[in-house]
Amino acid sequence: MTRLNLPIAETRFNFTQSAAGGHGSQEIFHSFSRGLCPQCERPVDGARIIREGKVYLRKQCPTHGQSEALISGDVDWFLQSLTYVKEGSKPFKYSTEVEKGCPDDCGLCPDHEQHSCLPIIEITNHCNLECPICIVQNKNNYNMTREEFGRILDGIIEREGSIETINLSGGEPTLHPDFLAFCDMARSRKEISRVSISTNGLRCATDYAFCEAMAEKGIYISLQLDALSNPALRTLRGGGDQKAAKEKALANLERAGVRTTIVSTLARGVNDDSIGEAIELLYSKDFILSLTFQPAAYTGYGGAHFAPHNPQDVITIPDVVNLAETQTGGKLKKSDFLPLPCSHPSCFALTYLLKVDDEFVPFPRFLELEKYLELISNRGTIRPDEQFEGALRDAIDQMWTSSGQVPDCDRIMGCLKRAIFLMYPEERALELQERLRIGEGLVKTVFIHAFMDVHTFEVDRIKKCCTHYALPDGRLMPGCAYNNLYRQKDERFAGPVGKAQIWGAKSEEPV
Amino acid sequence: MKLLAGKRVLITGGSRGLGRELCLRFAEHGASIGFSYNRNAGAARKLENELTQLGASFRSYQCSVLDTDGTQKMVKDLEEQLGPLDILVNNAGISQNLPLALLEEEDFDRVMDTNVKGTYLTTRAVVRSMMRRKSGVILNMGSLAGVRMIEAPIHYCASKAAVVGLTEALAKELARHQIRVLCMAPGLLEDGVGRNLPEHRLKDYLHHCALGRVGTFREIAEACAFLVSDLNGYMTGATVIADGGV
Amino acid sequence: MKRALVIGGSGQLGQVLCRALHAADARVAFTYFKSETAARALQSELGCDALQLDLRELSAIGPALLGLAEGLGGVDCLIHAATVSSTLNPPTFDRLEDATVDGFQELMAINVGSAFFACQALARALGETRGNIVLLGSVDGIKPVPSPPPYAVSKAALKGLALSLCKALGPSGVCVNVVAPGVLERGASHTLPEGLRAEYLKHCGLKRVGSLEEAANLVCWLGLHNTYITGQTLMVDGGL
Repeated sequence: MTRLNLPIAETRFNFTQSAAGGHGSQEIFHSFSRGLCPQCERPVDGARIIREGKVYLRKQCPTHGQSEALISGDVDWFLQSLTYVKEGSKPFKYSTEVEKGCPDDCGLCPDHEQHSCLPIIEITNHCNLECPICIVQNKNNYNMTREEFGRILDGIIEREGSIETINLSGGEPTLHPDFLAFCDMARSRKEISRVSISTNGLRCATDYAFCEAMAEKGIYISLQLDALSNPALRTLRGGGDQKAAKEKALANLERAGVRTTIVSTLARGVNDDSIGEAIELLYSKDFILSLTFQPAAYTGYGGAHFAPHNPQDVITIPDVVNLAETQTGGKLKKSDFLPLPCSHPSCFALTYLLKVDDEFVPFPRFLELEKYLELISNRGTIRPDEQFEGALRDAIDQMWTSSGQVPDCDRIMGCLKRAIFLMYPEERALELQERLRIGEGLVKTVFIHAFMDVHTFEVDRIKKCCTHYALPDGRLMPGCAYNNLYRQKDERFAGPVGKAQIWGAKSEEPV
Repeated sequence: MKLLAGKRVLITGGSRGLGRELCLRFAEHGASIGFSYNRNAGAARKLENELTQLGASFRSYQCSVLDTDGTQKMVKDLEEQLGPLDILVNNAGISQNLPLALLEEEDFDRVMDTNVKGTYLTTRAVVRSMMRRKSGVILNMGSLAGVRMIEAPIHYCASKAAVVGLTEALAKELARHQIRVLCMAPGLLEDGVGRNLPEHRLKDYLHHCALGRVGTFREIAEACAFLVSDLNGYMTGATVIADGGV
Repeated sequence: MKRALVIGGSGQLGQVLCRALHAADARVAFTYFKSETAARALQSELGCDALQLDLRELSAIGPALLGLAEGLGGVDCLIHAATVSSTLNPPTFDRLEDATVDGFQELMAINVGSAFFACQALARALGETRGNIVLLGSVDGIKPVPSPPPYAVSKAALKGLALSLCKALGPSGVCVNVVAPGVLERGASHTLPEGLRAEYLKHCGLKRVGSLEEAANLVCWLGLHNTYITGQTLMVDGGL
């Protein structure tokens, strides 16, 4: 099957004239880049242009001419973020050679600049939703075999040694007939600390026993939750009473005590007003450990079907940061967020929050920037290890010696002391798992993870990618390279397209 | 070999951890046991059952080491019930994991009170009859943290170093009454303070420990049984470090 | 049944040690040098192996001890109790100016060198049983007391040996410790001048010298039962 052509109409994508061609305002050439032509998807040269406080990627295709896409909504953020860099770690083993050059040798090749922080295993391409925003074109014709899954786990461990988190995704992974067995297989590998699944939450909403099983197996759930109201949900996720389903899923996960991450895909003009309420939800619920905002990337079904998309007016990481500040009334500020230095700074930003009484204080408000960067370097999650302990001790000493300069420092220190007593009680020794669990309740995280589509794709970002799809042949495919360039060629999905069992297709009744 | 046949022992903080193991091993070595506990009545009942199963004669008391009157009553009752005490083990102690910046006066006092003042108060209550009889052994529970420069909370280290000083001075003072005073200073022990360390610190300890493992309560308790036994009659004032070679 | 190898078993402390080990159900083998009569008597009393061994011949120690260990069928505990207290003949309480070069070398060979090479030879055998090494030190090597300088030097050296060997042998489960007695009723203290003995009794908390048994009991416990004390020097000095 040939891939669906992206509905690119010259007019919609605002192919611009050259700089000399009389663009209304002044623009500055920032740097050379290499991206993809949005029409033929071939790698083409381009330039990063600064204009009116924003950064655009302008590319020149020999065949299709010039195209332009917004890559950062805030030039200050963009320029500053480029200073947050850190040398990458190498995987123990590569799967491909450098032949054609990036991004055509993926899997990883020795030219890749980062190992895998978060391998994603797509165990099925069946889905019970047809989300207009989906970054995948699900063909509903593949379920991974146990043998393939075992091989992937072996491959990941062989390449990474030990790994913090792996993610099971799809399609909708909970539709896989062997899903629970896969969870057990992954949990039984001691090299893997955490297993998370990315789900639309429909099974969580309709099957409470499933939620209990997830809690019992210690699986972390990444729940797709873009908004809390139907109009936005329908635009992004399609028909049915999505709101009722999501509410039920949240209630079941909370009741079963499943450690949950909320994942919100943000589309300009659709749900970019829901950032504040998502953060409020994170703050108010103990079972929700973190929140990930994903500025929409228009690949797969989303690239083909999502209507209100203008590559020159998309939402980018600094836009999310600014909106978070506005919509939380400053509870979270722009200065609380920093790019994650281990990935490309344009791909990831985050802030850690310490629970103080009933509030959450972002780490950068009490931790020196340098220490904070050290802490978040090469990882997305906090572990109570030597580095973390060192950073916290530095923070405590710093607050103590500069008493009064850090706002709320007495309260923060009181909170840290209570945390120590909770995690290291005098009366009894805690199991490591129990202590980790207490730690999880005290520190929450807000991530912003920007995926790339054909418009925003840049070779330098993909070289530093640490979010990888793990394939049964052993390859680890940088997420956005796979989504944009490889998935449609994946032979596992080469069979005839299957029939999707879409939830709510027969009736619009709420669950 | 029964090292403590016919001996009457008081062990403070006896219901859990090393204290519990001391009670059990000392009973196995033939001693009658009195033990005190502060809060954990459940653990105390469990230990009582275990001691009963060993066929040991024992008494238990809910009594804080900082309760002077309670301690005196306990010692009086114990000596009436079991007979005069031959051995006192000052085992009750607490630890907290606090950096200086978070360590407030009340935290400092609590640890010093329990670990140092408690040792002094119990000793004072017990030692009078030992002095009359010109015989007895006092074993204080120290810690590696009190004798070596290691990363541990200052009040805990200070209290355990104080126990060493107290041991030496007390040994000098009581030697003319033929009372021996010793200090056992263990390193990290299984299920003890050790399990409540961040993982990397435990790893660090194991790396520096020649035997490459934490100690068990049982082997420390066995060493204590020998130290307080009559076989060891010429050792006093000594702090014996049992740390697997850190 | 544990197997104990005692170096210097025919001396006053050595004999007590061998008996204590025997009483604790250990199978004993020992070396001796000068006191052949005492050695033979002890051998027949305990029904054990005994080997005459000149500890000044350091290169002969290893093979001899391996042979003795083989006779025991393995070794769970090595005790080094051989000691000379003086560089002179007849032995005195050496003053700094009295010590002779030959006597010093001989003393160091017997007190330190033989302990070192005994540990070297039996390290592997002890690793197989996760056994114990116990060395006989002295208060003279630990605390500032009036003492014969060569003797104090040699006893302090054993502390260093234990500190180093506990690290080297710890991974194979072998514990290495020193028992450092104060003045005992007999044994190495026989050269102690009366004035110093009185001085000792004045400062010793328990106001008496120790018995050989009191030192031997600790050596015996460390040799047969200890599993977590290592690298330590344990004082048995009545509270000096």
